[in-house]
Amino acid sequence: MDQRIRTSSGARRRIALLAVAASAALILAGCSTPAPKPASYAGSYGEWDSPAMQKLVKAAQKEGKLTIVAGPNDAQYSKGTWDAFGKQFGISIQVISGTPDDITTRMLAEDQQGIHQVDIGIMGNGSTTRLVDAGLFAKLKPLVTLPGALDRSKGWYLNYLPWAPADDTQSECTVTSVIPLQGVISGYYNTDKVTPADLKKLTSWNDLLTSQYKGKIVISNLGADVDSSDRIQGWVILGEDYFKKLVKQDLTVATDDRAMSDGLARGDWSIALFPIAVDPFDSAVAQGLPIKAFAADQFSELAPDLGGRLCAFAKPAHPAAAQLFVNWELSKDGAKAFNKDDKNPEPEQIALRSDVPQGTRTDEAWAAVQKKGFAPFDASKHPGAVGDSLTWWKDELAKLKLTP
Amino acid sequence: MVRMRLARPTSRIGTTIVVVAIIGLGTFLIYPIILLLILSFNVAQEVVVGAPVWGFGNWIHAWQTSGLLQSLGNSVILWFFVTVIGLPIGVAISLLLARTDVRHSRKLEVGFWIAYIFPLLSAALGWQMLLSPNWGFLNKALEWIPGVGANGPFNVYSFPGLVFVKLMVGGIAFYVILLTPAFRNMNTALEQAGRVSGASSFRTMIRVTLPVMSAPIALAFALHAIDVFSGFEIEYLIGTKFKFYVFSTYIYQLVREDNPPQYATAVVLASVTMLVIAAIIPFQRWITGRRNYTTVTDSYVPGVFSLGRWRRPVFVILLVLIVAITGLPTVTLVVGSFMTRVGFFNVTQVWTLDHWQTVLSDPQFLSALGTTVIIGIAAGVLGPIIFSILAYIIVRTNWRFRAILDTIIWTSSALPGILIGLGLLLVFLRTPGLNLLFGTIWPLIIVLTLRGATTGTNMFKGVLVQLGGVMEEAGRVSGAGWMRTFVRIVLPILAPSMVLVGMINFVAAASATSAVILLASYDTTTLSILGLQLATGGQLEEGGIVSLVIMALSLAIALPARAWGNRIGLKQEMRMGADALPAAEPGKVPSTMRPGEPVPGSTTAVPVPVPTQSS
Repeated sequence: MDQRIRTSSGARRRIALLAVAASAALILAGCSTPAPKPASYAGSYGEWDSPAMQKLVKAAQKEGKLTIVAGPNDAQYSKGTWDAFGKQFGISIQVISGTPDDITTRMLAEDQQGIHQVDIGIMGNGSTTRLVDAGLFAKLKPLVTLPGALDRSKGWYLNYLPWAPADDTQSECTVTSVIPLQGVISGYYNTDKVTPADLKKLTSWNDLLTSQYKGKIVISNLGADVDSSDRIQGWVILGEDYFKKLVKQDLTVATDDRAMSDGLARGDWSIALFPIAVDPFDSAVAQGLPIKAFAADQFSELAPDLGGRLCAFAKPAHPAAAQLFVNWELSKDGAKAFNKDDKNPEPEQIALRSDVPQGTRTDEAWAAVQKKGFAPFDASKHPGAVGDSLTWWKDELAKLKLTP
Repeated sequence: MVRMRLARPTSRIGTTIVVVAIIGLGTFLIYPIILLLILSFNVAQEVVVGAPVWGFGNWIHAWQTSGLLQSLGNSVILWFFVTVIGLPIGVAISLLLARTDVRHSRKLEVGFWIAYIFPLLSAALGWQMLLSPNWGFLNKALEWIPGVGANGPFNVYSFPGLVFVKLMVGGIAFYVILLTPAFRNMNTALEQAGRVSGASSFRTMIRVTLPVMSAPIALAFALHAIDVFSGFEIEYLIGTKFKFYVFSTYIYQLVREDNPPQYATAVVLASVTMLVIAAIIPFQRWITGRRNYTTVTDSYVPGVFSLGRWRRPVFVILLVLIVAITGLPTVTLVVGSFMTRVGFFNVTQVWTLDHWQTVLSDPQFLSALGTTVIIGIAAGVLGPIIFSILAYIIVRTNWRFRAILDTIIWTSSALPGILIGLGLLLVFLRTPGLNLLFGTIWPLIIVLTLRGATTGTNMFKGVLVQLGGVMEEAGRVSGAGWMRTFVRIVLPILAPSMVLVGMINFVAAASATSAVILLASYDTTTLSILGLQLATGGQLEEGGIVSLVIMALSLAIALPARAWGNRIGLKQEMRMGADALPAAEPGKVPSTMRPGEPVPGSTTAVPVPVPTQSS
């Protein structure tokens, strides 16, 4: 056998070219997108005309950027509202999102090393608690300089400044919206499995405890502290005993809302309770799948809820932009933008300010919130329920081997 | 024939190089693990902030969780069945592709590459859509058969279903892409000698082929074994539906669903993988050290066996398998990206372009695409260079401390990405100098280049073990130093392997999430992280599109690179005399290689024209 072998010089040249190209690409890696041109920031209500506000706006525009760290649902649902802020003031909005535990851990570790890259935190329950406990958020009231934002005696649906239940300090994270037509527990059903006749029999949450629904109910993982409103409301209003009976219904714990809504649409289960995000369900309804939300008056117990968490970091990367954003979120312009945002998949959620137009919010929700004596459930008034309900569900689901 | 033994390169410079490599690799592969192990003794509620509270509480309590032992057992049982079924199938397919004249073997091999590249979650979703008991497409299609029943014959939510999906999604493909090149390198002379001695094909395969190939098979087995406790996505998606919890599900629960995340306890549990690695390292050394596995020397005789009348049926069987493991999930993913809601044909508007418009109009998508290309190319180019040098040092030199290097490379796989991400974050935040890189693209490049060290270096080790040392010895005899020998002889020989490892590294870098999610800033978000964000936010279709883009990107780089890799390095013109062909029992020991025919491009090595010195 005779073999002749030669090295390909062309191939070597190609390798060298590839290496050069790779190196050039690496050098260019640090490039980032420029901030948008400043826009007119007058707004609809002349809220930014005072010298103090103009000074804040100019300082924020000079910084040019605002970095928001948000949970995946907030990042998806609130983008339209945040973009309205960016557009009004010509400030580039950067959103850092991902698995809540990961991004929270990162914020904590960065802060420990003196690295401060974010301004605003709009996170779920568990993440907010971790960040509050670690002292990463600023006291909110000193940041709010906009007239009428702290004084809730008029122009608001609540006459006091509410705090997020995850904020143990009750001074750092406020809530900015209300969900007027909310039952104690959010729920959806499969219209093929739960007939109109079945619906007629469902008048109290206790009616779900019959054998008819054994093995037919799916819930989100209530042992994971992602969103707590339904869990806390249920704990306070329906009581621990109700939950004890509910878990005996051979429940299934879904991995996420999308899996839960898809399974419900396919008829894997008849009823889905405690969804964390309603969009996967509402979009399924809109797409014509056999899913429906339980009507607000389906069950006798109602619990209008608060939502829309807002926290500002104590050491923000862009202090002026962060402060401006906090004020804007509590301003008429901010509330108007929220109500107007047609990209928000929860049109029944309404800004807490009562002095702005309905926008794209549903008529039913709008009517409910206008009713005299409207009083949403404020979970922060029940601090014990937050931790107790979490521990109970975590232990119970593990005991039943519904979670690992 | 007397084999001339040359002194292997050993010098003070060599020791220095090894020490530098140990420090360099140690910083990014072992230091994060050390930090996490230290952190496991911190019993404070929140381990990344505040003053640590030292104690053994995590190590004591970690093992007291109810159901933990059962989940450990479940992991082992699942891994056992996947290996017992997957390894023989993988070896058989590799043999067929590399050593027989099955039609379109190279194209079939590409099919397994696509299967390997395929995102795990998407593929698992695809199989769910096919085999779910009451709505799976395949079950629905088979309902009309009498006696099948309303739920169809298949149930993906069962242990056999889980094993099946594990095999289909990466399980078999992993063995095929690792072993096919190794089988291609094998010298048929040994098999032909067996046949000449009167052994049947089957006996030759059992007594000659498999023993000679035991080193690469053991290596593939060992690389698969380190995943025994870390396989997660499919187990989570399918296993939890029938309450089959594995070890990684526990770790996930501790890190993702406890508040605050129980990193310390998770590290304690995850460190059980170190026991597996502690067993793998000596096993692998024993396998590779107990005999000579050189299959490619100057007297290398390549060739393939004829399948005869089985040629067509074998091709059809392999084609069906590839269609099953790549075609079905690919079609699912592509079709799903145009569906209003993936998997639902009963919606009011089934088809839409909205998801594509959403993804393509997202400014972060283009930014993430650019970042992914940069990181992928860097990992794909730098990784093979580094790993080949490491493998050469470990296999071919007598330099001191090289065993430590080998141990570092194996140990780097000890902890799953979900935990190692935290360790890397701490390294980049707390190490002076490295903290200056935080927030830039460099930590991602460094981490993703080196993350493939275990697979990449061991693949090169496998090739070097197969390659005779005669060509380097010839270089050394001619007066070249080790570096010149490495650059001028070894590197060109390894070039096709480098392309292979480069592709694996590129794909791994392009699809990595958990290891780098804590290191990526807004400006350095990768496509895989963006896809994860979309999927966790309920936008499955958009997440699927990002997966498709990653796959397309991987294939766009991998396939031309693979074709290129088969041509670069050394070009060969082999003129084989008739005397080189097997002489005994002509027609019974067939070779498809005809005199004067060029040797098919080998994926890992080629013959070299140096004087015969093999023993």
